[in-house]
Amino acid sequence: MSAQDPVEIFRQEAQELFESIEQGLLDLAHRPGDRDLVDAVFRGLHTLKGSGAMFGFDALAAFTHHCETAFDRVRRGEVAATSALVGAVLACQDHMRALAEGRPASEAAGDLLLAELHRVVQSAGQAASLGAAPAEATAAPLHTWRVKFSLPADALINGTRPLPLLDELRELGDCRVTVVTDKVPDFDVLVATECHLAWDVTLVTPHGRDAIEDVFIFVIDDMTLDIQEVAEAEAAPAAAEVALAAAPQAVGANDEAPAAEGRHAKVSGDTVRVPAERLDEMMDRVGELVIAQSRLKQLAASSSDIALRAVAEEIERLAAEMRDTMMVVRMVPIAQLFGRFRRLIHDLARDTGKTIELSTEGETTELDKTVIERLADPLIHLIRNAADHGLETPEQRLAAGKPQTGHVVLAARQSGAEVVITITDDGRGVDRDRVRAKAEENGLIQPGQVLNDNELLQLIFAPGFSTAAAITNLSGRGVGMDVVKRTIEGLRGAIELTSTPGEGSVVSLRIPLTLAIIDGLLVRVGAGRYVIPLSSVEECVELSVEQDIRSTGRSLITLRDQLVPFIRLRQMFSTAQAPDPHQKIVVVQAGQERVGLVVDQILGDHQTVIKALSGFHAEVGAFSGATILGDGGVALILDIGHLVAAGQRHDAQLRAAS
Amino acid sequence: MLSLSDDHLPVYFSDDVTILNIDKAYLELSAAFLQEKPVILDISGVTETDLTFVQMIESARRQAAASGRDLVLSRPAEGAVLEVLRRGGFLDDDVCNRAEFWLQEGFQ
Repeated sequence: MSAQDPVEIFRQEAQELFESIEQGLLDLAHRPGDRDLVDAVFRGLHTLKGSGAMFGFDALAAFTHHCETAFDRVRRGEVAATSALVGAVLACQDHMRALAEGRPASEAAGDLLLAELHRVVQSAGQAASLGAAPAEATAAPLHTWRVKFSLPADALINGTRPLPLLDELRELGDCRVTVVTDKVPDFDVLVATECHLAWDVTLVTPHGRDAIEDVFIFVIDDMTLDIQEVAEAEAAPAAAEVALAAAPQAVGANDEAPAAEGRHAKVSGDTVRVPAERLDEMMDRVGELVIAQSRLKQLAASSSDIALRAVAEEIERLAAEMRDTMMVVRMVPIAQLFGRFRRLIHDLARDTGKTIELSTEGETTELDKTVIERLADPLIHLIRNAADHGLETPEQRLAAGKPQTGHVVLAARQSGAEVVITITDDGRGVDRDRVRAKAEENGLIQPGQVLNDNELLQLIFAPGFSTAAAITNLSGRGVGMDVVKRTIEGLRGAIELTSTPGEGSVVSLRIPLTLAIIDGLLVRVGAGRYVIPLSSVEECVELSVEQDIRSTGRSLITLRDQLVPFIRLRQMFSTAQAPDPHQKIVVVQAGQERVGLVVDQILGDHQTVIKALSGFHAEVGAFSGATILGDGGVALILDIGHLVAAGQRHDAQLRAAS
Repeated sequence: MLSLSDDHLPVYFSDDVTILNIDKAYLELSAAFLQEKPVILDISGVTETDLTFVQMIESARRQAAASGRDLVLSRPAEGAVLEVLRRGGFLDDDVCNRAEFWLQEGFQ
């Protein structure tokens, strides 16, 4: 995508509009009388329509017009904002999204949605007429505004269409539009595709400044716009043609200052919108820089040139700072992700007939943008699961002595180099008997096989467990918990499930903050070098020859009065070389579990640029990726979750044997 | 409709004249401008247009007026051109004889 592609710019902006409309609608379902919410939704729809028309999305503009009209009637107090109306507009919004994104959207489906919308508006209108008298919006006082604007010369070639802007202004009230051609060059020097026109508009309307600014929302960053009430304009004559980008709202109504402040940030350059792929490219470059720096460090270490060493250290410091800065740039608050689920819960409540409330916690927690994108599908699945299968019907809840409304809590918090996301419901909990029956039916376990509670719950994540309409699968989606688990593990994360019968379930996802570069501990096992993510490392202890001999066949060490199982990576990786006389145990932790990894040598810390393994190696569970070392060699990155699980299994076998 | 005299050089625009092909239209009008004859524009065949076309003719009209050359329309603007003029606010103003030029009010 080109940064200048106006269609893409519109789609990005429209995405934000859709989100804000959706949040407004969902809030309105709880607070139907909130006038500010009604205004906000109306303004969103109005802007979407106008901007859609301006960027050539005519079908979107025409369709949105109906929703806007419906909300205009709500605004005027003619129609009540019933939950049916909110639902109908939400359904319409899905169609609008498809139109904005260029996805297939059949006209017949659109017509059906509009028919439903009109039906709902009619019935909501009757409800309103039985209720309070219409609000006094229609009697709002008229203002006369003088609006002068011009667009940058490349506006037309970039897809901006001024005529729909003017049409939108006309929709706000009585409008006199005059084109200003003073800046149009002589024909000899005219570049015909450029825009040198300006407009001077006098508008008599009940609307305020916000409504006028909304007309220009998609072009406001680059244009020159001056809006003045005529009385003010007369008091402060022509001096006031102000470039909005330079001094927005230089002359304006004082009572609208707060609204204007929010806009300042957008237009004054406080934030910059950058295509995500540029960040990815930049991250790749930083990764290459870190690798090159690593080589330099190695060369400098073997050199006696003090100046070279000093430069290498300086570059190491700068590369680390650059990496950290880059990481921060890529971080986005998880609120972006959580915001999507309010709509999901609304739809699920409607579809299942349950009363469901979603609470979110820790929305300011930040995660790498790539991780957030890849978390969306698993979380949708888990939330659907909680709402669809975890929560009981209102009748069942009342019978069980619970409140009628079921709760789903979505929470995020940072824990070291990980973010822990939990999905908690206060439903019926996992039915162990049904899980066992299902697992036996699918051949995952032998009938009567002894399993502890954790092992039983883990069966839910087994491939082939949830293909039928049963405990954890969702009808129609064809995606099971095994896919969720795979996705989370693909993010180098882990998933855990705990459940109390009758009280509900908690699914915890532990996700690394980033997928790009990590701090690692470089170790040697035989001739091979490996990276252990530093965030997992608890401590390093020496494994003496005596301890080594004593623990053979047992593989347990005592650390501060606790037995910790350990894995001899030499054995695991079938290393042929003789072991180092001073082997080390690196104690790592994943979740609540600890395990020791026996290595020959600890080489030191290492900034690890993670490279994905090829598809051919994807099934090698012990490794989560690879990295390039300073000398050009390759080190594999150990998958700690996998190794800890292997260690725990080994420990369990030993206990069972003893 | 304005009657054509032999010394007027006609320039015809038809079908779509928009930002997509305005450069071609500009070249055609430039070629006519290079000659010393008065120019008469026939835009009656234009079925779709946008501001670039109107801006171009406005620019030509103003330059022609400033240099004492004759540039006229063969008939009043109608259809798509009239729609752009109306929506764009070209007709709400009485400066520079703009409406007279586009609507030929002085000739009717």
